[in-house]
Amino acid sequence: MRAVLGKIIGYAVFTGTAVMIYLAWSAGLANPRSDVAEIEAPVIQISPTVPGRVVSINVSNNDTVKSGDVLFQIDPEPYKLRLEQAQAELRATQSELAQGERNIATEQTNADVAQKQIERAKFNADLAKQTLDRLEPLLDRGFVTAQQVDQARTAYNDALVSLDQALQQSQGASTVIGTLDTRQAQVDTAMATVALAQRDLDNTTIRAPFDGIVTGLTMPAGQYVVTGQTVFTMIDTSHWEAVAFFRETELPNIAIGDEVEVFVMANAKFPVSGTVSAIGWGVRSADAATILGLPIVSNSLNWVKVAKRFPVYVELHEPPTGLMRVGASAVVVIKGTSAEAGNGGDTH
Amino acid sequence: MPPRAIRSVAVLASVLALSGCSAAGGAPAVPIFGSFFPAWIICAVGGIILAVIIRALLIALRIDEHLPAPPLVYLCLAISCGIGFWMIWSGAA
Repeated sequence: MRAVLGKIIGYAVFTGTAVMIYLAWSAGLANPRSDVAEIEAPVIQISPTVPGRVVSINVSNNDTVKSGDVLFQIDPEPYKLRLEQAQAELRATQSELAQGERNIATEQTNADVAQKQIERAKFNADLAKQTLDRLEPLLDRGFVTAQQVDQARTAYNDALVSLDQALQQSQGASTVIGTLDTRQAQVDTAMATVALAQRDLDNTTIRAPFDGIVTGLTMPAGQYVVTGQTVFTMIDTSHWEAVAFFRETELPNIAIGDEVEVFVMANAKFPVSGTVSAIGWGVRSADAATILGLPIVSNSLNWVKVAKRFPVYVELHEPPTGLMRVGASAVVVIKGTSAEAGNGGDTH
Repeated sequence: MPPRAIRSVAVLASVLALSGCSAAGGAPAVPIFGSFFPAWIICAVGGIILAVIIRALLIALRIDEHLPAPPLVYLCLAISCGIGFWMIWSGAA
């Protein structure tokens, strides 16, 4: 009896183990998991657009800020003065423009006067011509003296010269009428300068570009900072993600859109759900390093090679704010099997 | 010997039941003294302990001497118990 029971138990254990190994293997294949994972979020360096002395910092380290909140203030006084200077220059150029308009009006009047002079010279020339025409026939019959005819001819020629002069004067007066192009351009330049000065003045107040957390702020107010100099770092808290490294052999079982459970090790009791948003397309390889134009080739050969790991990016849904810290350890388990995802892709 | 073995089985069963409580599955890593241990190591240790207890039970019931290739049976028992713990842990079972 015991011998039979012993045999049954023994072979049952062998069979059971084979089944269990198969089940565990297929479960591992269906749900790839990685304990090399970290919590990440977009991070930017906050720096001023304009240089100057930091007069006040309105946030403290590790504060939560809303988009548009004032972070810190650069001394605005030099920029205010520069704006006033630009505005005064704008007024000067506008006044120049008005003066130019008046000058053109005067020149226009002069041209009109010159035009009238032409008419007068024409009338005078006509009169002199008529006088000459009347006197010349009378000279043969001796009613007028040659002196009188010569005088009339001279008067006529004189009138023609006057007409020429009036024409030239009118032309000159018309030519001299200027345009406002230069002055208008100066006004435009001054307006652009005012806009730039206003922009610089506005940029002395640095505001939060998004909802986030202030971190790495060690600087008190008073420091002189230049354009692009990092004052502190901001974490964008609206886009938490987990970055997990998976072996390249596991990547075929992971598809974008797969359901994921992320265990944040700070409190691993409650998994955070997420979806695979991207799989990394490249990692830097130590074997492909190049120094000074020549590749570094290792002399030792490995018979057994270790699989490379690639980052898999997991977008987190409603992450608990208390657990979300950049760089926090996590374990990622892919729930959606590649078989389902693959079949879904085929049928669609 | 038998009462101690029975007590151990009871403790292990309660541990098993507790770990089975979380339907969604536990974390695949467990923090112990500031280090994260993979769950499968803990499950493997649990499987070995369970196999040792079952061995004690089988010896007490005098079935042990009738097993075909006892070392292989207990090795397989340890492996399958470990996998069983792991599947309960990860919520696969």
